[in-house]
Amino acid sequence: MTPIRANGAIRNGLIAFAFLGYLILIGIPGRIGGAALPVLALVAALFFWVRLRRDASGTDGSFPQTASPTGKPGWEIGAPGHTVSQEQVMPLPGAGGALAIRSGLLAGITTGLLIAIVSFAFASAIGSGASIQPVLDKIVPVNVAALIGVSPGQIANDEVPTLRYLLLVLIFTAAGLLAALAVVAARVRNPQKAPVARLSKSLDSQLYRTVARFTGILLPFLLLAYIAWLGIPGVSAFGSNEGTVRLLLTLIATGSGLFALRLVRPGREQNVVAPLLALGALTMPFILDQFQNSVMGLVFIFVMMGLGLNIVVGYAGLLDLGYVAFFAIGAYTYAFLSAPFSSPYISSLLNLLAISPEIPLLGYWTALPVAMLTAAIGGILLGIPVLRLRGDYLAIVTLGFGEIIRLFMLNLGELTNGPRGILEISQPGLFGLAPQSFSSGFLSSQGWIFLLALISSALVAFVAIRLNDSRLGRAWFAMQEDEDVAEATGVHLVRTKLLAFAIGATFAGMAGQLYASRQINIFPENFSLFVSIDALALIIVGGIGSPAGIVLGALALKGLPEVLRGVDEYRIVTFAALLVIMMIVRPAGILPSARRRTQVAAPDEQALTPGAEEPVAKELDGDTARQAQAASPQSEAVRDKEDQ
Amino acid sequence: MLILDTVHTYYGHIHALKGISLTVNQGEIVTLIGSNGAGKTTTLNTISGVLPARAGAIYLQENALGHGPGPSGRDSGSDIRLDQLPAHQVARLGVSQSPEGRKIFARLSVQENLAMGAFARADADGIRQDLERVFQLFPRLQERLSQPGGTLSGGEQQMLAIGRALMSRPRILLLDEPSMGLAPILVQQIFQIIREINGQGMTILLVEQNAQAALHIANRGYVLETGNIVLSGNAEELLANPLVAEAYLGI
Repeated sequence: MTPIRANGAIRNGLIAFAFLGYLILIGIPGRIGGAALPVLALVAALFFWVRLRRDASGTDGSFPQTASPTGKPGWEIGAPGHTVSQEQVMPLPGAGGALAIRSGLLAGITTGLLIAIVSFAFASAIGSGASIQPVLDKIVPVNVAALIGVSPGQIANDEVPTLRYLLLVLIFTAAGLLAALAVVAARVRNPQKAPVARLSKSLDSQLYRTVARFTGILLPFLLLAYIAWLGIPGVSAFGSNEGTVRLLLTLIATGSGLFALRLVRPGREQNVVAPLLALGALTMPFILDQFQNSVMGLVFIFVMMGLGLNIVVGYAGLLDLGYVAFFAIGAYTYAFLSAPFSSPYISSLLNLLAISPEIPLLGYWTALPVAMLTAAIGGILLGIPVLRLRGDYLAIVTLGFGEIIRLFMLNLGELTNGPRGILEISQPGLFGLAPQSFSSGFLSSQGWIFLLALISSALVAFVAIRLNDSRLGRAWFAMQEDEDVAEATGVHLVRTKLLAFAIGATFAGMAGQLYASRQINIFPENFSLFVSIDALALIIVGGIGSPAGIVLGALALKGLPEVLRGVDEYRIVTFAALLVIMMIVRPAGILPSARRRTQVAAPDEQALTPGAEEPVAKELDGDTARQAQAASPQSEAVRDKEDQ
Repeated sequence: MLILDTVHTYYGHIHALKGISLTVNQGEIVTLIGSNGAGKTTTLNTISGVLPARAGAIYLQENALGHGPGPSGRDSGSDIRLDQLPAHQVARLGVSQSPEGRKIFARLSVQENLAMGAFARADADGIRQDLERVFQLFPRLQERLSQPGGTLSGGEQQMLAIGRALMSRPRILLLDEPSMGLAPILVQQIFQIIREINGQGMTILLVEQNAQAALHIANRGYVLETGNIVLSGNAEELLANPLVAEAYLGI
């Protein structure tokens, strides 16, 4: 139609191509294999659907306005060239639909043509023997073949039929058409006018809500059952990649478990579902195999790290980029205590004291308080010099501290064995039982680590959540907002800051100890700056200040890269892309913090049930709560006002 | 009950307070007026300990009517040197500041903001009583209990700032420009509430740009100019003083 609109459609096509091109460059089609083309087309269709739906709702004026979703037809009055008549306010699926279809087709053709051109270029380059692999290392016959839908041999011999490229164009055009039809269908079905239709819609949505809620609650259990079923020898779902598929499903199951926890209503429902979810989580280590358990163990070690760092960064607002230091302190403390023979200095010291260095000094559980305490002392030692620093300066100094610890580990050869690391760190036992006695058979050794990580992170999460609502937590938040005012209300800044550093470091120490026993051998290189960055990235992606968000962040940033092992070199690029997308789509993280107090207890559900109780913070006492309830009609009026 | 004796305060090399001496007696409203940059806020920040005094002394009379005992090891009845204490201890001794520009904790709820005011206290019963008192003074706050402080209007934020300062059950309340940025009708309301709080026995040191309104509710006043006190006296005298009228009242 008008040039602007065509540009919009082509732009959609270009963006879809850019995204798909990235997936191709990092070798995704080759990993998916035969299903690559449909999967890519589906991704494109989803993208087109989102864009077309947005365009159709008129937020950027691509279509002549029909009914705007807010029900405010006056929105476009000021726009030049728009005369809002009654007909235009009414939904006109025909006219808008034709536009949507044209737009979808154009976007699809654009994407399809570009992908066809690029794959043709790649195929002929490979076919003619040009070496593009040094530059684009994933552009190999397998990958390109999967993209075009032929066998790798055909690529290598340059035997791709030209019709294949036409098929590529057609597939993506079909994706665009499909997206457009979905948008149009939704509009035809949803005329938003007649009262009868509105009533049926609301019934529909009530039913829909209930169904969606129960599906959400059941999903983790179903996934878990499926994962367990896949674990039975002989059962296979997707052929050779079964382990990866199970890992992916495990990540999704864990994430959906967290969402299920948010979906249950407080009261009896919660009392039944929450323990079941916990039980489900605890069965995971027994169901998974060694590989999946080791990944999940790492994920939950990072959950502990994230929860600890969240106290420093999210609660107290002290940007700490050297958090890996405490992780390293915890790990090395346990290493010294459980493998004294591999540190020359400690063995000689023990020889001097006539203690045999051949047996571990302390077991896992007795060493735990020592590791935590050492890390806490490290936290305080870091905290003291940086008490007066704020913001950027604090970040730089802590960054240095993290590196100092790593360089210590690297260069104090007598104590830490330098780059050769500390070897044969012992595994956690249980009530005097050696780890080997129960790590075989039904629980793998990595499963045992995962189980411990799960339980420890649950404990840490409990402490973190309690701290969030405590007096100390309030002091941290007040300090984050304004140090001077917080001090003037009686907050002891030094003590409060040092407590944040110490508690955060304690959690990292716990995580570090578990990490050391998971790795068995640790080296200074395990504790690079990237560990700090990972921990920080996962709390930002998950939602600063929100424990559930941190678990999701850890699943996404530590779990997903393992699923996409083939693209591991691109992990940092993927991180960056993920962070940028996150910051645009959900600036506060996947699950933002519950600290935004107004949103406690699902405000939209309250709006549905009139007379619902006011969400009452319970800090001060019961009397205040009662007063707050008495005041609730007014506050609801206030909220109504805000809604508009 | 609060005595400043030739207090000097510096920002780096800048000499901001050049020997301020003033007294606030039990149950009074004393106002500190002056133009921008005269040192009004600096004086309050020096009293509350946020800024250190480099010379001079600040005394809080221990035997003044109030709640808890002073820091251990001191004779009751003696004066406490505030200028040697860190800000959080000054706050615990019952000097409570409602800062300039309100500075409420924007992401904490109204209730949490008030709880922060009572941060240094452990007496649950007393806190509950004071909370009720604050709600009597500012019914609006009770309506907005679970709302984040940052979403309140300017006037409500000022109420919250004063309420938060009152929650520590202070012996002396330092109010820094409570009328700043508020509509005239709200200014009137805030000043009425200040008088009401004073009527309940609270000693108040009020810093204001709005000299007229401040002198109308105050017992005594000090006029501050570039770090020095240039005039002092009863509020009525100051209102009648031609110098004050010319410089600060715009008459």
